[in-house]
Amino acid sequence: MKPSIFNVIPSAILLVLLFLLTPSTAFAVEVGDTLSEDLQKQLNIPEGQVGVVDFFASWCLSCAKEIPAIKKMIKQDSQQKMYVIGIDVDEELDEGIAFQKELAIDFPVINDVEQTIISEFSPIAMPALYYIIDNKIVGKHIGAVPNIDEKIINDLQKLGVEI
Amino acid sequence: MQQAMKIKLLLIVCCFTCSACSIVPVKSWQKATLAGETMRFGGPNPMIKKFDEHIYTSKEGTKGGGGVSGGGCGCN
Repeated sequence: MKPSIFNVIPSAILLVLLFLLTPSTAFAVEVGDTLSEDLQKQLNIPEGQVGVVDFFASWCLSCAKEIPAIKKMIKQDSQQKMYVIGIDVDEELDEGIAFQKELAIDFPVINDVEQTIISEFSPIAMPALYYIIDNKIVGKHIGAVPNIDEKIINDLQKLGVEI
Repeated sequence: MQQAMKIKLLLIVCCFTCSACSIVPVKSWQKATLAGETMRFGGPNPMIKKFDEHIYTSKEGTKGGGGVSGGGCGCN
């Protein structure tokens, strides 16, 4: 039998598929997903409170603009219905801590130097905000917007949480 | 049969070659270096930036496009 290009087509298809599938995308939590036990332990959101997880970094100018608004919003939440937790994704711990001091961040912050937490969330842009109720992601807000505090309050109202 | 093997081998080599050239996208949280001052047009020194811009304007008749708004974090 004379070898022909058609004999190798199945092999070629298999190889192309292998090539395409090899750089498989990392698992990312999405709205509706429940956090893994590791993430639940790390974030430690108190029961009965809505978790607002804010990812930021010292090099992200939009993140720096949003943080004062978030601090203002926390002060408005007199009934403590929200639990805001910041995730600083700076790879250099010193830079992250200096940034937090500069902005006088007074809410809990996790220094995600190894970027493991943000890798699990995998937001397409920063700043990134996630709303978590009973360890389940119920909403997210990606990218910078003016008056983020009002935006968060509106989002939470839609989720049935009055601030 | 030998020719078929050759084609298979060629395809394998092509796949390996292509995968070596594949681009790994930079994630939004990995842009610290890209957001650095040294990555700006003309570097961190504003005077050099001014001269660079002047050269481009006078020699090439182009202006602007030397930077991006925001912090390089892929945000709005």
